Order: sequence, then structure tokens, then C-alpha cells
Amino acid sequence: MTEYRSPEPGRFPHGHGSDFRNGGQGRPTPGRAIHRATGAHLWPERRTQRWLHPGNGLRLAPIPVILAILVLLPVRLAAQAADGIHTPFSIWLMNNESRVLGQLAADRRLLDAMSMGNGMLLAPRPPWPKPENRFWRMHLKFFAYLTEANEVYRLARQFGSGDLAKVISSVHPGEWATLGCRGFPTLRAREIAPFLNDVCGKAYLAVLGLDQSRDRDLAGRLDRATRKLTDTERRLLNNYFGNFLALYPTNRTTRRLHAFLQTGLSKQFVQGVASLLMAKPAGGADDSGGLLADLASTADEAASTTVDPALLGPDAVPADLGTDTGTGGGGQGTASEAPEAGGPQIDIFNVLGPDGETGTGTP
Amino acid sequence: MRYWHDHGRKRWGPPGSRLLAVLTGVWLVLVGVRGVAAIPLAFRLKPGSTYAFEVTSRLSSEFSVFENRHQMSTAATGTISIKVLGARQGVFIIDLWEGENHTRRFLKPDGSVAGAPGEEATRLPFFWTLPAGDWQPGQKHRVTKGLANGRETIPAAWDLTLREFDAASGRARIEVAGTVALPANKQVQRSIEAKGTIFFNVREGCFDQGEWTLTYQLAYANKEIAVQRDLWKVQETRVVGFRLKGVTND
Repeated sequence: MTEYRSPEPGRFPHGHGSDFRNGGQGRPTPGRAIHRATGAHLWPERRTQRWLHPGNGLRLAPIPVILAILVLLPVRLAAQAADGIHTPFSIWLMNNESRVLGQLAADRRLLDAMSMGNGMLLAPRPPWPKPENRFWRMHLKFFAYLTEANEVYRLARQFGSGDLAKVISSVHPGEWATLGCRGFPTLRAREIAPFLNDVCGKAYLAVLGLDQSRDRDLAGRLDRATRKLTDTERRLLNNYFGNFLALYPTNRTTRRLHAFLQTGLSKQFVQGVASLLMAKPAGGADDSGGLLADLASTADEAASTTVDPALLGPDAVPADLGTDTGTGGGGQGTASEAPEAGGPQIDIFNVLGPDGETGTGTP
Repeated sequence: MRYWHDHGRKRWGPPGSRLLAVLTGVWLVLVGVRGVAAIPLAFRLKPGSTYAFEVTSRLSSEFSVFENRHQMSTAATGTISIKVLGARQGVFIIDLWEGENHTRRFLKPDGSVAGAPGEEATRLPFFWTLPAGDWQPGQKHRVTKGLANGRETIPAAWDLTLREFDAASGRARIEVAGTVALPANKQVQRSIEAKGTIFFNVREGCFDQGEWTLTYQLAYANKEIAVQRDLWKVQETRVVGFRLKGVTND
């Protein structure tokens, strides 16, 4: 007959009934039955208890670290994405402002306390002059200027290569959207498609945070922001940069910002962003365009259909596009705007060729 | 008259009498000066009277960054009338009016404020107090107080030195010097100092005139490891003065 007994204290100093949390000093684990003859447990330890064994600690150690990295890394990346190259410098300046503001406020209270020693009288309370406010206003201009410079830098870096302009030039959302209506002339699909192309193009630029009138000339935008500062303010900002870079010489972000402000934008980046803003979704003779042309050639509608002026009128387009969408043909940019960098605009549905009548109104 | 010869010189009195006379004279002078110049100064306001003071202040402040400087200044003059409502248990109850601003204080004879029900205690100025008993000319009387500055308390002191007492006019000229022990380090260096002269009128029982200058300086720098760069400097000056215009019993 099998006998059961409680484990003897100290018999199994490490595990086997002893509690390692007590240093293996023989304190038995409650509820564990041990065979009297062999000293073995009659049922295995639960898995969780084995995990808690001190010998397994090293294997489990990386888990919290990995979890922390998985949690904190996206947060840090998101924070970095929200910051700009002006962030370290701006924060440094704002922190210094805050410290001095607090210091001055506290010290002026002490000055007030020493301003009237006669208990019979009240301390004078004229409006206290604060010459530092002039510099805080200057700093506000610096912050606005640096934010603008950061935005220009971001746009130039993100879109200055011109790759996105090529992509936009090769897509034809209007044609794709009206593809199913090609067989029905009354639906005027070919007239609507350019509008859709334009709407989609502008909406995409708006989502990207690009404004045609503002960002068409990034160098001019940066120049306009710089001209808002006087020579004195520019020198002061330069001195601040000198201080910051002397204190934090390894801060490459601010060094890059400082160099950017001194040298300005290169022409290549400016042209890259300008080409993006001038890109027309309906242009470009790429593969998708060829596919659409093949599909369109099977349509019954004649390619020489003229554009209905009613569709080109201001009332026919969304209000946020402005009146210029109705002029210049099919809601595209006006002739006064900069030349398009997306290459020659080809009407992919004009199966009669360039000598035939234009049906899309694309300039 | 008897006289003694000493090395051919003639002198009056017995030997040692000259030294005695000199010592007696010095003692008489000291006792006389003490008896004349040592004065007890204390507030003795007349209940029911109104004291009119003119208070002036000139403020100047300059903020500098690198080579850029910007200075601003202003000046103001106001009249403060103090109505002595009464005296209870040695404490004067006074009403202070500055235009429409009003507050009430309980003033002790030594100049300290025992209570100010209309004012926040931590915002009360650091007042001068007069020493108890006789005050010798040249003697320094120090008043200390901890000024609340956020969570910390900054020790401050007024040093009052009686310079002279004019018995004819009943006015005592007192020099005041104030210091505030502001903590400083390499990045933030600041100081507050005060210096001036005030007059106590024994007949009116209060200070009747005074002017002192407060100087404040702040030098703010950034320090990162071994690199230190100066950033901003602030220098401010306040000149505060008051004058008793008159006492009425209306």
C-alpha cells in the first residue's frame, strides 16, 4: 500500500517540495504529496511553477525588455515623426524662457517685499516695465520662422525628388471611375473624367498638406519667411544658434537646420516640389494609359465629342476648387500658372490623334 | 598757591592729578554724550489724526542679450492717507487709503505689523522695526525675516544704523541697508540690494521722510558639461521715497 506523508523540511532544499522563495530552506509547498519511499512527487509541478524556478529566470529576462521595446518604439517613432528639425532648438529656447520667466516673477515678488519698509505705508504699485517682453516677441517670430523653415524643409525632403510627381502624372482616377459609363453617350463620361482627375489630384495634394499657391515656389516661401525678420533679429537668432551648437555640438538636427537656414534650398528640390504641384493626373503615356486607350477605343462614343460648356462652368465643379477649374479647359490649371513638369499632356482617349478634335479639354 | 617743580617745568596740583583730571573729563564727556544722544525711538501716532504721505517711485529695468539691450523706465507718485482709528493694548489701528485702495493694519510701537486683515500675509512687505530702548548713534540694528519664495524661504535682512539725532527738529537720521540672500550658482547669478536714508520724527511719532534704492541683477547662463554660455542679463533699479505732507485732526 502506498503511503503518503508530508514532505520533510530541509530534505529537498531546491525544489521538490521546498519553496525557493524561502531560499530553499526546506519549507514545504502546501498541498504537494510526496511518496514516502522514493521522495518523489506524486504529480508533476504545474508548468507555471517550473517557470518561476530561479534557474529559469535568465530565460525569461528578455521578455519584459522586448515588450517594452515593442510598446515604446512606436511611441518614440511617432513622436519623432511629429517633431521637426527645429524642435530641439525651439524646446531649448522655450525652456530657457520658462526658467527666466519663473525666476523673474519670483524675484520681483522679493523686490516688492523690499520696496516698502515703513509699515504705515503701502508699497508703490506702478505698472512695472518689462523690457524682456520685447525679446519674447522676437522669440515668437523665431518660432514662427523656424516652423515655416521646418515645413519647407520637410516638403523639399519629402517631395523634392519629383518621384511623386511622376506617379501622379501616370494615374487616371477619372478615367477609371467613368470606365463603366463609356458606352452611354448621354452620361458624358469623357467630359466628366477630366474633372474627376483634377478633383482627385487636388484632393490628394490637400491630403499631403500641399497648397499650390503657397508651395509652388518653396524657395520663395522660405525667402518670404526670412524677410519677416529684421537684421537685428537674424543676428540674434544666429547667436542663439551659436550658443546652442556650442552647448550641444553633437545635435545634428539643429546643425542641419542652421545650415539649411544659411544656405537655403537647392534649385533641384524646389523644382521637384513645383513639378509635383503642377502634375496632371490625366497626362503621361504609361502602361495604364495604354490599357485605358485600348478599352476606350472599343467604346461607341466618338472621340470628337466637344465639351459641354455647362459642365465647365463654375457651378459644375465643387466650390472648394475655385473658379479657375472651369477655365483653361476641363478644370485644369490656368495658362498663367507655371509650366507643367509632368511632360506633354496626351489625351489618351483621342483615338484620332493630335490633329483631331480634342474631346477632353486637356490643354 | 603751592606748586611743584618737576624737571624745571612748573605744574599745578599734586603729582598724578593731571591724569586724574583727564580721566574724569573723558568720563564726563562719555556720560554726557550718552545722556544727550541716546534716544528711544518708537511710533506714537495720535488716534483720530490723519497722516498724509506722498510716495514716489522710479523704476528702471534693462534686459540684455548678447549685444542687444532694451531699457524701460517709469515713474509714479501717489498720495497715501493714514487714518489712526485708535490704539488698543499698545497697538495702533490704522486705515490706509491710496485712492480707492484700502487696507487696515495693526501697527506696533516698534513699527512691526501685528496684523493686516485686508492683505495676504505672505505678500506683506518686509518692514523696518525700531530697537527697544535707547539707540546709540552709530549703533546698527538688524531686522531679519524669511521671505516666502515659492516653496523655499529666502532670508532677508534690514540693517538700520542711527547716524544722528537733531534735537532741534526732533528728527533722527537713519541709514538703511537691505540684503536678500538669493541662492546663486554658475548658471543663475542674482542679487538684491537696498540702500538709503530715512528720518524718524519723534514729535510726529513716525517716519516722516525717506528714500532708498533697490538694485536687482540677474545673469542667466547655460552650462552643459564643461561648456558655459551667457544668455540673458537683467538689471533693475527701484528708487522709492516717501514724505510726510501733513497731519490733520479732522
